[in-house]
Amino acid sequence: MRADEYATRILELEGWKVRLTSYKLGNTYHCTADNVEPGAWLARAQGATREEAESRASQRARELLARTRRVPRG
Amino acid sequence: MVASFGAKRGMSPRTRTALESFWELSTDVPKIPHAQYKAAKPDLSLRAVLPEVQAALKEGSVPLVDVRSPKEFTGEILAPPGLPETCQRGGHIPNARNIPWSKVCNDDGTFRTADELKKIYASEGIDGSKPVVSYCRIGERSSHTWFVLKYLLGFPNVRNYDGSWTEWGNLVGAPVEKGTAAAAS
Repeated sequence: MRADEYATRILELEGWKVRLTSYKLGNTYHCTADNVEPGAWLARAQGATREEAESRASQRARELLARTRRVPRG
Repeated sequence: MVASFGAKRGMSPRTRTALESFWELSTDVPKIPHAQYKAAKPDLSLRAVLPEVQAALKEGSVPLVDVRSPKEFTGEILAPPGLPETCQRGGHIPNARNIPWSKVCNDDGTFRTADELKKIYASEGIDGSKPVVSYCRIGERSSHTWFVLKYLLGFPNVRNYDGSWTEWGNLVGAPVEKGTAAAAS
């Protein structure tokens, strides 16, 4: 089988850029979320639809990104 | 790490390339035949450890390349967004040059040309005339830069700081610089 309907998009979650990569394998949609810079994977999820897979991956990514502290300068 | 134990080959294609290029995929578990493999004795010359980095800083003779993002380098954040913070302090090793690892790649993930790579590092005073040490948070991204400097640019003396910022940023009393670096001299 091949990865069908491959797509990537970048959005912002909790003030950070996140790339969602999704594709269909068989009857299941897969989605991974990475933090663009440096491109580390944050979350993966599956779903019956692309939206479901992206929603699950985004939710987990959001939880992790909400913990990222910014240290004030000075 | 793999190169330290004598491995000469072994680079799997990027998952993204495999998916985008519509390669045929399978969920079957591959049957990999057993083979005899003996790891070589570790080549520790590929890795820099703490005392060597401290000496390099003191003598000023070994340029340090910090390959993390600018926000990590300045100390605004302690780890890449969403990843565990593994250190107590943010910032960088004094006098290190910030050349993020991804600068050496094109948008499609391929490496830039040799001339482009030379210019990127030369603009920060890194030209292979002196030994170089690369580091990041845990030594993973900096191993990518180590490969670029050693094998793509052919610099004769390149090492990856094993402890990287996770070690330095937790060391009591270790000097830490914050903010952007001064222009390369």
